[in-house]
Amino acid sequence: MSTKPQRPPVSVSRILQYSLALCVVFVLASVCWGLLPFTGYLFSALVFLVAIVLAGLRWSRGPVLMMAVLCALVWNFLFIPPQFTLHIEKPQDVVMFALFFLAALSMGHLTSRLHEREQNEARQQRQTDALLRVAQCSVQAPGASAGLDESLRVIRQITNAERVSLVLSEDGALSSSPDQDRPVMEWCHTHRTAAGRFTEQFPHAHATWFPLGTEQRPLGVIGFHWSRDAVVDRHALQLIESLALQLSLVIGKEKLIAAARRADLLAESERLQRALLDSVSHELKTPIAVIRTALDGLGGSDPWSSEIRTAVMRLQRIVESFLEMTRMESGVLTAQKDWCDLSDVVQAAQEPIIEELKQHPVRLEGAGDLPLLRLDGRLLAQALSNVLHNATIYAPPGAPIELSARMNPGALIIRVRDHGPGLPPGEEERVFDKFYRAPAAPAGGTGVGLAIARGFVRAQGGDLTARTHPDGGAEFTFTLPAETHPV
Amino acid sequence: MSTTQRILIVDDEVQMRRLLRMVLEGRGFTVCEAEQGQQGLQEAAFHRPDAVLLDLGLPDMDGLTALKHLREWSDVPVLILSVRNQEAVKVEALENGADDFVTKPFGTAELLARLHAILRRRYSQQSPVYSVGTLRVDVLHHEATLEGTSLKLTPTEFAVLKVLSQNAGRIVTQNQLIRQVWGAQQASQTEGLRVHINHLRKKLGETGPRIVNEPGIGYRLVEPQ
Repeated sequence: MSTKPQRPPVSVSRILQYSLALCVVFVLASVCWGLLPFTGYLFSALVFLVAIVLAGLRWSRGPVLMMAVLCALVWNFLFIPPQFTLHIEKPQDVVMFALFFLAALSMGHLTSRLHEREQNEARQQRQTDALLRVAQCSVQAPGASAGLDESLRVIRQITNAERVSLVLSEDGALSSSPDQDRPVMEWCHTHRTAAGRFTEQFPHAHATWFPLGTEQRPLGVIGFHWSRDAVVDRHALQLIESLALQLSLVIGKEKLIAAARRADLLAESERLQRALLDSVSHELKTPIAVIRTALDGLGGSDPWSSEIRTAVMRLQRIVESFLEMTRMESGVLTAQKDWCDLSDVVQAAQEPIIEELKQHPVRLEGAGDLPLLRLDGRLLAQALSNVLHNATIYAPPGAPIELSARMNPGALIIRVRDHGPGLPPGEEERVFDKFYRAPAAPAGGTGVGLAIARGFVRAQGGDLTARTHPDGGAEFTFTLPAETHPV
Repeated sequence: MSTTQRILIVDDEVQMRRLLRMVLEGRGFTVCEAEQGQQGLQEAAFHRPDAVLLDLGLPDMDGLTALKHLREWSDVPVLILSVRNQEAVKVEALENGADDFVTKPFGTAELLARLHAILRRRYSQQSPVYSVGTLRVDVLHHEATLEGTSLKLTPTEFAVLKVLSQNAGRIVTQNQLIRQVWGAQQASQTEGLRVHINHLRKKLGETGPRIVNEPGIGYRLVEPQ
C-alpha cells in the first residue's frame, strides 16, 4: 500500500526563510562595512561563516545554501580589494575566496543536514509514540467496542483531524454510512489504496480515506475529515497509514474474539442438545425395557400378553423413531461412511421387524453380488427397515416384498416393491411428510418412518423417491452415491 | 467351578434390577446387586461374581470408567447393558475389556444367550477343537468341517473362522479380529476383513452357523435356531 500525496505548494515558511536570509546578509554586510576600517576584510568572512552555520541549524537547506552563495559574492564584491568588483587582485585572496566559498557551502549543507536528521528523528519518535498509544489503549480498554472507540479517539488526537469515521465491511462489502464520499470509499476499499483529499485519487473529496485490513480479509475503511484550511504533508499521511495498520490489527483481534465466542456458544449448545437427547432417550427407553423383560418373564402365550407385547413393540418403535427424528432435525446427525457389505445392511434392516416380516417374505435380488460399497451402513439399514416396515403395513398378508439392488456407475440403486394398493395418485411426494396418512390406511405406522428414511438417505448425499408400480403396488427407489471397492 | 454361578447386576434403575434378578434366579443363578459404580466395584471385589451385568448410564461414574477400574484387577466376564444406540460407545466398551453388550430394550432370550456365551468362553479350556452347531474347527489339524464335510478355506479365512468360533455367540469387534488374524500393525484392514467374511458366509451356506454383522461394531458367530 503506498500513498502518493500531491506535492504540497511551496510553504509560506519557505518563502519567509528566503527573505530572512536576504535580510540577514544585508544586515551583516552593513555592520561589517561599518567596522571595516577597524577589523579588516577577513573579519567579515568569519562573521558570514558563523551566520551560515547558525542559519543551517534553523532553516531548510535551500535558503541556507542560497545564503552561503550570497555571502560569498557579497564578501567578494564589497570587501575583497578591489572593492565593488567581483574581480580579485591578489592571488592569495583568490585562494581565500575559494576556501571561503567551500567552507560556507559545506557548513551550510552539513548543519542543515543535521537539522533535518534531528527533525526526522523527532518525527519517528512521535510516530512510534502514537502507534504505542493506539495499541495500549485498545489492550487496556474494558470491552470490545470500547477499545475501538478509544483507539479512534487517540488517532484523532494525534492527527489533528476534525473527525475520524470508521466504516467496516461485512463479507467484502462496505456497510452503509451517511458519508458523502461513498464512491471514494468504495474505490479505496476495492483498490486497497489511500484516496481522497491530499492524495492523487479523488483529490477533491471531503476527507482522506485509508483501507483497513488485508487483501484477503478487508475490514473496511477509515476516513479523516480535516478543517477547510488544513495542510497535510507526506509525513503525516505516512503516519496515518501506520496508524491504520495498527487499527486493522485491533479490529482483527476484536473479530477473532467474537468468532471464538460464537464458536464456543455453538459447541456448548450442541453439547447441551446431545445431553438432553440422551437423557430423554434414557427416560423413555427404560420403562419400555422393563415392560419387555417383565413380559418375557410372564412367558404368556395368552391373548392378554400377546396384545401387550404387540403394543410395547409398537411403542418402542415409535419412541426410537421420534428420537431419531429429533436427532436428525437438530443437526447432530452426520453420515459416517465406511466399507459395507450390502447383504449385511439388508440383514440389519430386517432384524427389528422380523415379526412383521413373517407375514411378508422378502425376496432379495442382487444384494449379494455387489462389491463392498462406501456408505453409512447404520443409516441405510434404518432407512431400509422403515421402508420395509411401511410395506408390511400396506401389503396383504402372504404377499412378498421384493428388494432389488444394482449399481449404476458411482451410484447404488435399491428398489423395494410391495404388492399392496400402491400410492394415491399425486401423493408420491407427500408420503414423505411427517404424520402423513393415506386415506383408508391401516393403523400401525409411526407417522414418521418414511420421513426419517428419506432424511437418512439424504444425509448421505442420496435420495429416496416413491411411485406406484405400473403392475400395482408401491415402489420405493433409493439412490445413493457410493464408491465401490476394487475387490 | 461351582454349579451355582453368581451374577452381579450394576444398574441404577430399581425396576431393572428387580426384573433381572427374577430372570436370573429363575434360571438358577445367584444374584447380587449394586446401584452405583463405586458400590458395584466393591461388590465385585467382595463377592467375586462369575459374571457382571454393567449398565453404562450410572449416576456416580461413567460405566466405561467403572469397567476400566474393574479390569485393572479382574477379568470377570462383563456384559454391558446400554440404552444408547451409538456404536462408538459400545466399541469403546468392548475395546476396554467388556465381553459383549445388549441394548435396552432387549429381549430376555437375547440377554441369556449372550450371558451364556461369555460364561462359556471364560471357563472353557483352551481346546484344540471348537464346535458351533454342525461346524467343527480343529486348530491342531488346521481343518474345518461342516456337517462332516470338509470346508476348503484359505489360511486367512481359517484364521478368521477360528477367532469367531473361539468366541461363539459373543461379539468380536473389527479391531479385535484384525489384531488376532493379521497382528497389531495391520490396523487398516477393514476392507480385507469384509471380503473374507463375505467368502466365509458363502462357504458356510444356509445351514451352518451364521456370521451376523453388528453394523459399526463387529461380528458374531451364531448357531442357527
